[in-house]
Amino acid sequence: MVWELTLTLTLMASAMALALPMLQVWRLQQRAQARQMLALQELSNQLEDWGHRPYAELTPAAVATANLSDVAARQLPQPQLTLTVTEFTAAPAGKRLQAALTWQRASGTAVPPLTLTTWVFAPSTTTGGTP
Amino acid sequence: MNALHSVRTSRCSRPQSRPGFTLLETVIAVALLSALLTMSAQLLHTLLLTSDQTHRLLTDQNTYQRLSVQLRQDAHRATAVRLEPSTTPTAPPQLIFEQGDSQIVYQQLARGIERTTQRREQSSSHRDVFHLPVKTVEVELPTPDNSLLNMRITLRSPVEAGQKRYAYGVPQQSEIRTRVGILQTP
Repeated sequence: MVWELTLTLTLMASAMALALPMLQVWRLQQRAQARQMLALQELSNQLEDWGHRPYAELTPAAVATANLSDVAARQLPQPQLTLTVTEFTAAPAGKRLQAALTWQRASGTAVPPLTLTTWVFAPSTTTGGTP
Repeated sequence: MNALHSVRTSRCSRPQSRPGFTLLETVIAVALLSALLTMSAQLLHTLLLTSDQTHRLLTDQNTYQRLSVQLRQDAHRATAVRLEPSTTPTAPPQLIFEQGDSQIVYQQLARGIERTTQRREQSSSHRDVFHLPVKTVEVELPTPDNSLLNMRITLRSPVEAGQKRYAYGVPQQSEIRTRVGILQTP
């Protein structure tokens, strides 16, 4: 009888040991997904803001002053936003604006940066018409 | 006499023991089975709830993305934007984009955000509803110095939305920022 009891309890413990981490992983994944969505929205907002400023204003010094919104700063753990502007002179001349955002996981490691890029062309190179 | 004695003895003696379970063993087995069934039922319930939540969260995320894309398209093509009081006194104000001969109205409803396109000349309209558990929508209109429109959406918490468990998939508060009038059609 002791043998049967031990076997049953072992099976029950094994089932619980398998099921509980699965639920925990699911919750962590949901949270990670929410943060990913928030970060993506924040990057879209940053590009919407900076990508439509006057061409001359789009300089590395100017984008270095970019700030994260309150909403993202509050909901992402230790977020780090980086905006970079790379000018290219080959025709058509323009600037590449790249926004990257990273934050910390619950384990303390940084999430690989989420990156969005947009290209802004010099006013003289635009050919008119509506996109 | 001896024969009678032997018959009596055999009747009074204990029957031969057959294989079976004692009452204690049966009680323990039933208790363990009940515990297993209860745990299995709870686990199954949680898994079903999880599946339902995942489905709902994915739908919410898609809806939110559609809303942000649509709002940006409308803002880019707008010639003017304004806030107007709603026709219903208790309802929040409407966000109105002017686009040539048409007007696009965003209105917060109990079940989400409604977008209505109204053409003046054709007197026709088109309506979309973005179903989201919206609690509040705050709008900051563009200023003369900055053409950026900011829509801040706060969703109801899962408890307020009538869900039993906390759901993580959609951020509780988010912003959609967009430039107004950068793609005006002539």
